[in-house]
Amino acid sequence: MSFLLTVAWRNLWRHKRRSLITATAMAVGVALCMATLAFNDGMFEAIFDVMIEQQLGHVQVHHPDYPKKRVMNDTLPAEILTRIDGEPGTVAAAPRLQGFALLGSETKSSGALLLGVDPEREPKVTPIGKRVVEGTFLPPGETGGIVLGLRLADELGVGLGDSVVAVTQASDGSLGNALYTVTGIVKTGSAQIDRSGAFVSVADLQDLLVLPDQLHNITILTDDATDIAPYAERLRADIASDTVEVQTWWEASPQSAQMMSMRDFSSVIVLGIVFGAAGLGILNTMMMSVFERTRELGVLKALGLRPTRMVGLILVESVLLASLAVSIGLALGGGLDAFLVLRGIDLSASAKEGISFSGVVLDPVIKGVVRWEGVAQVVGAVFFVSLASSLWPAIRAARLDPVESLRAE
Amino acid sequence: MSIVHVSDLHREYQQGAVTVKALRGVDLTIEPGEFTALMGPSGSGKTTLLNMIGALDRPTSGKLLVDGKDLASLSSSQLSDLRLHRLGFIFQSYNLIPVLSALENAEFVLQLQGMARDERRKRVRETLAQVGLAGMEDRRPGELSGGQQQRVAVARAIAGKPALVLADEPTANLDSATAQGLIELMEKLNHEHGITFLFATHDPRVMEAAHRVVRMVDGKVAEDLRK
Amino acid sequence: MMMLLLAAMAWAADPTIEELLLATDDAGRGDQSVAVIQMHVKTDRYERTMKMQAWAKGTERTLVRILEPAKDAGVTTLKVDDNLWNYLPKVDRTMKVPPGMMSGSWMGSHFSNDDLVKESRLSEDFTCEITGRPDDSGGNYVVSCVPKPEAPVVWGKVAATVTPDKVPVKVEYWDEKGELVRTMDYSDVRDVGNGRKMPFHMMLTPHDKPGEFTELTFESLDLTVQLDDGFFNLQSLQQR
Ligand SMILES: Nc1ncnc2c1ncn2[C@@H]1O[C@H](COP(=O)(O)OP(=O)(O)OP(=O)(O)O)[C@@H](O)[C@H]1O
Ligand SMILES: [Mg+2]
Repeated sequence: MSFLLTVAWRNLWRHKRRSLITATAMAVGVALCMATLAFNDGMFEAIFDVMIEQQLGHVQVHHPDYPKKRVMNDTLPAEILTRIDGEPGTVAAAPRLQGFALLGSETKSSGALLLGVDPEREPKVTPIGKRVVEGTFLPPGETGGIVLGLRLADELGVGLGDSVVAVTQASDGSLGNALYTVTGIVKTGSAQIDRSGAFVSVADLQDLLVLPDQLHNITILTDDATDIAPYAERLRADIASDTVEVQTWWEASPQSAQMMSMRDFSSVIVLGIVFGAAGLGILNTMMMSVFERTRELGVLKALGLRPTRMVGLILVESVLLASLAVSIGLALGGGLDAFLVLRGIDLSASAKEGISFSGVVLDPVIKGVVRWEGVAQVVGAVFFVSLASSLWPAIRAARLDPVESLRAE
Repeated sequence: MSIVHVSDLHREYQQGAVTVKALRGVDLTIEPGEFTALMGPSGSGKTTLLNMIGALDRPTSGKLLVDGKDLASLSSSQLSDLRLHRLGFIFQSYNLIPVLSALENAEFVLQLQGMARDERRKRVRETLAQVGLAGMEDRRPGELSGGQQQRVAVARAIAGKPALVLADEPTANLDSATAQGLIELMEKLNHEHGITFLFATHDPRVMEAAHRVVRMVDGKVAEDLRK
Repeated sequence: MMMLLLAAMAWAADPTIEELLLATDDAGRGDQSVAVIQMHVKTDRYERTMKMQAWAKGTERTLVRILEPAKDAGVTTLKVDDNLWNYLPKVDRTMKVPPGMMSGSWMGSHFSNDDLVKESRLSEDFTCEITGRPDDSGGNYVVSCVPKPEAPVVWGKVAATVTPDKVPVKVEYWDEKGELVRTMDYSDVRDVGNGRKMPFHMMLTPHDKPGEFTELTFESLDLTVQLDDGFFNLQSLQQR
């Protein structure tokens, strides 16, 4: 084997320029691939952040019928929250209650989605506090405050300190009504929330809807976003029942799961490009290498090199070429990745309002994220393709007729 | 037991519509330790016969035993192994591997045979010394003269201790002094180490040196002369 | 449901289609009333009983104030023409019910806000004919009404069953697909003076929600009151 390696390695350097050009071209492909993947992963990480961590949480708990039917009375008992807090792996859990209500100012009224949240816990799960553009989010420990979506506040013609009436049909059929004071205005980027969302404390909403100590949803962040399933499984074993359902984010929102699976899809496309480019490069180089060495390979064969070893010789040569390409590529790609991770790409020039992604606004500076599996896939793809595309030249070499090739001058 | 036994060997080549009969019933037996020259006019079938005996090509018909084995019954891998372990080749145009040094060129046959590194190195150095190339082990073929290259080729052919060395016009590309030296080297190897040689050649000096001269005409053995 | 009541009174006055329609259009135009009504609502999710006082003048003006339970006491609904306001004493605010919420439930009952606003307009939005007479319909008249092409109504058909002495027995409602959606049954017919008879008990049964109903029981009904148009305004809504 070491003979094959020696011959292959020396052959590679016999045509220094050709090998270097091929390797460099492949290396540039590898580097661009790495950069694309890093950018892609960064983008998806950002989407994941916004969509999963900020909206869906890692795990959700609700009444099994609530997500589909949205019936006000399909609630959870609030004491479940303490049990979730006690579950190992829980980082934060935010209770929520929600209901439609008519909000009215002195002069105007508008339908709204009232979101009852725990003013202390909610900011630990979602960045809603950071989306406040005026005033403050609901002050912890106080009741009677309301935080309005920007456009809803416009529509009602109210500002900070103004009072807003909420009227709704409570769970007992009565006409629930309450007066809240605007403490803040939020701009979330979610069209639905900005147009019709209003946050009140969960205690206030429990009063308004006459749902004492009841919740519609508990949204949980766990300590490891990549290991949610076992946490959900444990929690399920602890608290699930006929009226309590535990769902991971991908169970709760299959569309989001589908969107996240696009990550893999786009990786495949990027890899496919490298496959193609590397494959053609190697095929060309190895084909030339076999043709111009017909005589030499014929001698090897005449001297007793078995056909299988001949295949090995050519494959080793292409693997060496691929290794060279990968080494250069990793160096180049590492540089690009470092830039993407540290500096990111600022898309604000092309998207002034930030990048909107199915109602979610992303930061316009996309920072790269390097996943080792991604890099490994690229490297693996190069080797796989190198082997696959040099198989044909290798077989040609193995089939050389020594007599014919010795006659060739 | 004879090393080569050929009887009624035919080899035909199809060239378009024409059938070229390169060998038309060759009978030949070579015994161990012989130093034989094949001669005859150009196109008489010398190279073709060597290729048959060297297991590089298969006959159209006839019987062909090399080292006691019927080549017709061997697979191409088995033929490879036969060439590797039992035969040595010397070509007119040396055919060294340009990327390997003199030492490596002679060594790789042993490497393919699976010999351990230390033994292999020792054997190759000895062999190179035998062919008069001591001190030139690390030179690449491009850094050697034609005669030196052909000596490397001889070293490569004999390093694996083959039963038979086949040489197709080994001196044709060499000046007469160099050719003479090479012939003497091979004579010595034959004489001192009992290596069996079979040459195809037009070189009168080779015929001079040979113990046996087989003359071919039109794909047949026309004369078999033992000295 | 005040409107249903008034409509029923009107149909009861005339046994022929013209008279019935005319009476429907005229229904309560001169009529003024004040009533104390008990409303019992049963749904899958809750069951509640409320007592309320209702003032009406014609089909266009109604004021309903909740008396019981204490938690909701003082909540008042005012209807003038197509508009509906709720006064909420707890927050001391009056809220106009926006168009988007007209189909919502009124006070948790099976009546929608729309029912309060539009129910009486049979002759305006519907084309009616007598489809049953006492001899072939169990002794009662049946008036069937289908909406006019562009009419803003949710029903596909409405049919009222009325006795020859002009007392409503029931009103049935079909949706656009021809499915019977709800039935209002009238009972406990009493004499209210001047030779007029009125049902004091009404039961609304939504057929798409088995087991649910809204029941109205009149504790008192005074048809002799004199009410100003000015009584039905936003000021009195809050003062009452
Ligand atoms: N692959 C082939 N296809 C067609 N004809 C061939 C082939 N190989 C050899 N021949 C023909 O067979 C005959 C014998 O050729 P061969 O090479 O054996 O002659 P030779 O004796 O070695 O000649 P030389 O002295 O010129 O080397 C020639 O006529 C040659 O043209
Ligand atoms: Mg020849």
